[in-house]
Amino acid sequence: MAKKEEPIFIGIDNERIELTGADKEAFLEQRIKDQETIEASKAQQETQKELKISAYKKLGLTDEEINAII
Amino acid sequence: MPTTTKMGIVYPSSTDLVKDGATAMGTISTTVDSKTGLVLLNTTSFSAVSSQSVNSVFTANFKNYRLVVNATSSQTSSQVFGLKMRASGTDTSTGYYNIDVYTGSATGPSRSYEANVARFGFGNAGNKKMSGAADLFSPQEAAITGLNSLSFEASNSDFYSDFIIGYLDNTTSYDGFTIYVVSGTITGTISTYGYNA
Repeated sequence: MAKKEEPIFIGIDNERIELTGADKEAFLEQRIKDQETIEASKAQQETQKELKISAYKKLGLTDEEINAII
Repeated sequence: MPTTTKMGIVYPSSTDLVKDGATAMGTISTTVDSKTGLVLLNTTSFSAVSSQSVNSVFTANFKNYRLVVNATSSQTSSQVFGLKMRASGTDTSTGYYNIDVYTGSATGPSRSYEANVARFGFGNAGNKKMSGAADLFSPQEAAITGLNSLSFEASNSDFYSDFIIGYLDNTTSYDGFTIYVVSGTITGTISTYGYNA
């Protein structure tokens, strides 16, 4: 994740622009939100995976069989 | 006047009248315009940026588009290579649904489902290579935008192939897009083509 003190460049069409001030703050905030969305999505996938493993174990599948399915 | 074999374009022969040749030139132009299957609309190069936006590239001239990217990221392990739709210079950062089927050199295939997230998944980005093509369906129309993406990524840490389908759950008309990574920067080119129909 970019830190506040590092310069941030974005491209818009054929221009390469360095973000400063409020624009940079807003960009970093959006990046943090995007990262949080990604992390939440990953956490949800892990939860689903754990639930599946739990269900398959109750059905009597071996670890090897579960790994082949998951 | 003779006709070309593949596109059926009527063209003037050396014995046709000049005035008829001028008319034929006009017909050739409009025929090529309508029959060329994939039309290159834009190629944008980017260097060491966190994101790259391309504006005013989706128009009513085409319903569906193809984005072809050839890039690297500054990060030595894979991360999401994101794609956001853009209207009048503003990105949409919500409402994306993605199903991702991916496999690595040592693991997979695996799947993931993302509901109402901040971007389409174009693929993954890595420091060695990120290359792929994404078809966008009806981005400019007031309709749900759809995506099919096939890409691969290689970095110091991993090597993945990625097949992603997705849709953006709104009926906004978009005229551009932004590609980006969350960590580090990206360098490369992205070309936009329109599918002639």
